[in-house]
Amino acid sequence: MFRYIAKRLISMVPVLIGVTFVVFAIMYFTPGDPATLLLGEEAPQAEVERMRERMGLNDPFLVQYGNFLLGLVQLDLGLSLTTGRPVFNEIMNRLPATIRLAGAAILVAILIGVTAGIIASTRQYTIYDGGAMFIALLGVSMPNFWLGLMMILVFSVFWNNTFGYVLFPSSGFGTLRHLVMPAIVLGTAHAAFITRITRSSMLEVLRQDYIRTARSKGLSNRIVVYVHALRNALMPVVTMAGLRFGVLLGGSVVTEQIFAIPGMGRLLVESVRSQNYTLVQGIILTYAIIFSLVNLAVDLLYAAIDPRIKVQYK
Amino acid sequence: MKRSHLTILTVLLIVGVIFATGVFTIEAQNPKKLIVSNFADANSLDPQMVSDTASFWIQNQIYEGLVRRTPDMGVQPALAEDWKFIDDRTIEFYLRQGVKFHNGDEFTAEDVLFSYQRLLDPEFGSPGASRLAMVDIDNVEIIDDYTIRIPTKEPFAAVLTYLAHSASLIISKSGVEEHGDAFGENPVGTGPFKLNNWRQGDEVVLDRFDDYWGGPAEVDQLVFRAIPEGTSRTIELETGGVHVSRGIERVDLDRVDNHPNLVLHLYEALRINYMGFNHEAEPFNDLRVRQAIAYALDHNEIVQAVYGPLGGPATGYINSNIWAFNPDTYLYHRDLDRARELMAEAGYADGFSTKIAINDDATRRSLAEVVSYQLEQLNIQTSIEVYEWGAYLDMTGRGDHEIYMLAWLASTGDPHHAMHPLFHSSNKGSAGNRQFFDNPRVDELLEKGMVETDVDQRMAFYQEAQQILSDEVVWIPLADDREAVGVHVSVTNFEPCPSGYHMFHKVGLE
Repeated sequence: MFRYIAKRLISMVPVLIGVTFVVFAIMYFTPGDPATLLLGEEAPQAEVERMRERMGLNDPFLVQYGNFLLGLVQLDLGLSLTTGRPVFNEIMNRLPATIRLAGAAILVAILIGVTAGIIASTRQYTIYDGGAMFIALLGVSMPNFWLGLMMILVFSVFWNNTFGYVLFPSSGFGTLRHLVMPAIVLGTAHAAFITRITRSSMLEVLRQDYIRTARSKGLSNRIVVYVHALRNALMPVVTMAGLRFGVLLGGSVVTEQIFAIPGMGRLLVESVRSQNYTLVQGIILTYAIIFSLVNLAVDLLYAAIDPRIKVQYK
Repeated sequence: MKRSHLTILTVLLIVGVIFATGVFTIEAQNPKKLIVSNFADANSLDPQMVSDTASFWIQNQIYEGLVRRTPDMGVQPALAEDWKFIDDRTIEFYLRQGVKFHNGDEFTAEDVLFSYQRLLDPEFGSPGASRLAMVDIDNVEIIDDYTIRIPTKEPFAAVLTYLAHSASLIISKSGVEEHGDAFGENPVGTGPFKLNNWRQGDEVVLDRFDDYWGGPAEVDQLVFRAIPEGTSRTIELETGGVHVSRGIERVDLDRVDNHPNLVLHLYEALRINYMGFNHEAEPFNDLRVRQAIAYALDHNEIVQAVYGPLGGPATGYINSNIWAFNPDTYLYHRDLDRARELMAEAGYADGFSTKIAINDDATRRSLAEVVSYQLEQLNIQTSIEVYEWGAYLDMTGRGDHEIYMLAWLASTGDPHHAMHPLFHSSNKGSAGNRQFFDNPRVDELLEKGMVETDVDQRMAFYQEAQQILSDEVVWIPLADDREAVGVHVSVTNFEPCPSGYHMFHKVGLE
């Protein structure tokens, strides 16, 4: 098992190097000059030139990339161009908010998704099935910003006008109450995927012979569905939830913007806008690492769910 | 059955906790905590590390300069009690005594010298260095702890307004020595508020500085929250989450204005929006074409459609709130016949097609659309090209553009700042003269205005220059910006400042 994890971790290295190269190249060839953006519209040309020299922007592409890699192996991602703070600190400042939000959102998504999926599959072609699928469709088609604003309207504005206080604050981060609305907004969008995959996976499992056997043994419907069927139907659900979680960990630009959450999505957009290339690289690299780790975690979860797979992990 | 009871109980419990905390926080609110919403978080709390308004606004509560701007754009003493011009290029400043930094150290002339040296040090590479580029830093002379002589390289009339700029805020020498590179997160200034806690990307919490020389601030705490979305800022203001919100957007103006608990302040900012031409590109090198375009546009319609209450028609080449503004220059009004005549004279009776370059900004997009529509009347076919900000600055700086839209903020409020970068031929390209305009007489007038110390004389130079710019239709002035601040009725003594850096020392909460 540990050998398997170690092998997987080592195989991440070339992926990460590839990611850094692609990102570096994109930032390098993007029009616009980081030095100009840093100094503002009105900086004299000589000063911009001096800044370029200081920042090492006049070096050839490969030299710049080499310097970046050299820093990377010393765990030095450089300084953010706009704030002068180490890129590593910038990311660590924003990551907790994103992880909390992603965690809460995936919880909401799984709770809604798996429940709706089970209801839909066990009552196939009934009104419950149709209803659950309709809600799933609604969840995935409702834009985040719209749902976010509607929730703010109801739970902040309307609630405040009626009861004299705000049920859920419309922006900011820190307490559980701040987390509720963004988690629901993000969660519902992802719940739809999980609902669909749970339903189809359950439908397939429920037709299996051993389910019939279980029923004919006289087991109650609840035990058949939740113990025998669900566990076997979970594999694709776990994959989907894992992938969704990875996406969520990338931060959600729209939701973070509306609710003023200090997360990774906003940080990335801000840094791309200001051509803060050191920070962009740091963030993308972090995403790549997170994504690889989430994938690994999903694979390990397979083993936990299905003992047959565990044997193969050596 | 039992299990479902448990589920219901849990749900009720969670909901109960959420409700309870809701009521609790309302009651436990600190009565003297003033919460302000800002567009963005500060990039750094070191004034020499930044050039953005979100950072400067917060820094202006923490630090002070030798002098500061008044809300009517005059200059008043701050850390310097008084000053005297010794000759036409040297000012002697008499510093306030007994002023304490937030770390307890006393403020002296050493801190002034240190601040300016660090700002101008090419190794340090401050983005604000160009603000004090006129200061002859090697010859600054400390007479005693409370007297300092600051010479400029050449006579420079507007030096005080530049010393009042946020880049020239005075930082603590011992503070920088203690914190080094982390000074931006551990600011030490002399202002009425000091840093308590900074949750990056979220909020900056400032505490009242009790030893402030001007007397302690009215409120105990001042919090700047970063709320990037305009609608969210207004909702927070409405629901009591913030007391003061800068940057109320046009769609929300009525909502704030009609709200019983909110007051809307509209104030003139110092920015002018314009539509520029590349004078080195055909056909805009022809004065008649530029004039024709000036005659083709309906200013009032443009401002009404795009800005509404957040802008006034610009009728000159500097923002009308800058003291040297000449109101009698730009006299073009929509006159399509005259415009067609001029087009015919220039040889474009059948019109031409051109490109309007803008950066990715909603206001500029609508501006370009309205202008494009109005130019169609002259058979000028335009295509609108949208660039990302960095690429936009790059492209217009190189001169690859034809028509472009930009704005200029003269945050010092001085005509030199408002005109020299934009119109002097030495600043062609990315230094500000993106229309590549070249006129020896204008150059001469701008140079004279820079060194002349007599205010009336300066006024005359700058007004003549504006007349020439207008005769040449260097660009088309579009709108002077107005900004909107929403304030809760419980806030007392709030006074908006044209620079946008509203001060909170005297602001209270009822």
